[in-house]
Amino acid sequence: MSIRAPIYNPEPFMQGDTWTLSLQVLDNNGAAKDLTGYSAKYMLKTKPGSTALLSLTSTPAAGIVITAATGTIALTVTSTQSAAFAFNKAKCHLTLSSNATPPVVQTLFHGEQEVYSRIAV
Amino acid sequence: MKLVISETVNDIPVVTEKENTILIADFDAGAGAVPLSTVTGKGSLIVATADGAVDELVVGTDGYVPVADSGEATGIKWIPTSGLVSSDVSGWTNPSQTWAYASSTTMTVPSGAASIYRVGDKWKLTANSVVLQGYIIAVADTQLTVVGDALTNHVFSDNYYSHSNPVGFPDYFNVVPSMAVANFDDGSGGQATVVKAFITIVGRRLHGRISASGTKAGTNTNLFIIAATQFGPILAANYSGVALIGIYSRAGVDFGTVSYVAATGNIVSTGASIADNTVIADASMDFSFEI
Repeated sequence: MSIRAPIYNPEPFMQGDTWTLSLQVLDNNGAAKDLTGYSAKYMLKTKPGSTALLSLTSTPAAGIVITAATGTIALTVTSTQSAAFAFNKAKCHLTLSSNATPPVVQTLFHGEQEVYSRIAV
Repeated sequence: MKLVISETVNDIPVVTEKENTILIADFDAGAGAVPLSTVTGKGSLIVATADGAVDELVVGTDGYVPVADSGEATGIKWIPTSGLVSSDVSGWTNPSQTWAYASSTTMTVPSGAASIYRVGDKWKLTANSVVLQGYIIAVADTQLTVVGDALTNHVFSDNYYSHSNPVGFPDYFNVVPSMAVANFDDGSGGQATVVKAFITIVGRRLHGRISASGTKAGTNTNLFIIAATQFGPILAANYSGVALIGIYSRAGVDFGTVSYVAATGNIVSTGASIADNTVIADASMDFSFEI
């Protein structure tokens, strides 16, 4: 069964670690979806409407790389960024937008990102 | 659409693809959707013009309904409900085709009439604002032969037929028979005075009555002699060897029989001999035969 805006909770990681999430978009036949013209955005917030704790985008290039031909979206939180995380749990949200006017926006997943505090960074 | 997710922390895989294949609603749902701008007004329909192509079918006139028409760009057109083949509680059926005047007893119809109409059906149409009705007595591929009201040379509209007994259809139709004056006349060699003459058709059986007043011409046993074809295309073969097809009465004088004479095609009343010049005030002949 297909669902809209599925919940996906990324694996917890240690504050100060580098975290990468690679996501491939496939059609129902299992073929990679051509993401030419699409852009992605990943955000962490403590709650909806609050100031973003982290914002990754593909356009402009800031932490997200889209490989259109393979339908791949790669998110990277650098160790510097994660070291600055002063939270243990945050709401996460990854969206994909087309270049149509207005853009077609779809949430690929949303969930909760957990970060373990490091004793010493 | 599926998402295959893998995660790593410090280059160490922490999540496998298997665990994170997520089915989500197709992202293309929006991109491939029919734009709202396709329709421009109330009542418009979105129809396919080809494989993977759609267009707008602008709303039709009030009361019209869409029907398939491969000749249209959209494959659909609007037509009035009066153009549909329909039968209502009145018993009349709209054939959705045009009838045209050919003669007072024939009309031209589209090819294939035999698959729609049959002998004995009722018909109704409007010609020059006058409603005409009658029976179908012969069906050819493109022509109907009728009795009842005489057809007039006008455009026909509101044409209907019925296999049954529709509301408003007359119980009978008057006819003007032509009788053989050699046996029955007005005393001067003209047609006897017709008091009543009508026919009705039930199924394929034609029933008729003729009542007339006049004078016997010649001394013999026959009074009414009338060509059967005046009323309908009698199935003569069905009457071979079957003499009696009706009754004949002359009040207070005689009772006789009515026969079909195949050799002449006539319907003939026969009774006791009647003297020449006998004045006959009320002779009647009933007949019934298959058409």
